[in-house]
Amino acid sequence: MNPSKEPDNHELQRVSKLSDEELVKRVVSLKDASAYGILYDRYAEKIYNRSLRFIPIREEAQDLTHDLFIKLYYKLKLFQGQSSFSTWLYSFTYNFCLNYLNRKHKVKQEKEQEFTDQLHDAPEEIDDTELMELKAEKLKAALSQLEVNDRAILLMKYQDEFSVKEIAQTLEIGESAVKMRINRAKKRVLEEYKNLRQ
Amino acid sequence: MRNPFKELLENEKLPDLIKTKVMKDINLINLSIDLADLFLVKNPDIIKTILDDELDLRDKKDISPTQKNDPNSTDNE
Repeated sequence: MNPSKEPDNHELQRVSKLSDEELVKRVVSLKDASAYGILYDRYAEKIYNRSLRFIPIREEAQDLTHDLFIKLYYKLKLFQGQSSFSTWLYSFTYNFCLNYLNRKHKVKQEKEQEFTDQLHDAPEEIDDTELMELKAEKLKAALSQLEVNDRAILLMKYQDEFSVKEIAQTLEIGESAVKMRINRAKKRVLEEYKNLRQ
Repeated sequence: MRNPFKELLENEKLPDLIKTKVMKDINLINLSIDLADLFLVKNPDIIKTILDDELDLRDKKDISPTQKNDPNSTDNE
């Protein structure tokens, strides 16, 4: 009988009941791998499913999820608790996916995008009710036709319900630029949706 | 209000193998950090302490024997 095994299990049970924020503190201060394993169990599938929206090939999305969790281990100390851990983590996930795709496909960088934001006139304001009436299956197909930055901003806003401020912090751009991009992405997704009907 | 974006949420399972790989890499990272800490932070401190002690000992030896109160030397006389 190993007497040291029992307290370990008790400790693991105790740690597994901790909140996300307490687990993060534990990982950062003690480099506790078991606490990190609990965070992984809570979020890995949510992150995997979010990355699948950008990388539809399963194996590639799985590799990206692995790489994200390795990078996250180093970056956990940057979590300040200003938002909930899940919001911070999803923001980290969006950035990670966008950077991955930008590197891979050499999509226009954010800075260039910001510059073009200033050049283009703001499109006419589109009401959300028009988006909410769309059929999910067709919306999925229309979203897949969009450029990744447009897709990401729509998913952040309408699926993960990020505020404009949170999107601005995630993309490191101004709030007015976020509003402009959301409106432009809405216009584009509606165009793609209408094209699918034809 | 109905939100079609929420209906797009998928529930794909992530293979257990990914967790095994992540945890293996995390343990390797922790080991590397501990080793780096040992060799780059703790060991130099230990060596510095040993060298300082050594120098202190030498300084003591360098002091002339007449200045020392060596009980053995008086015994021999």
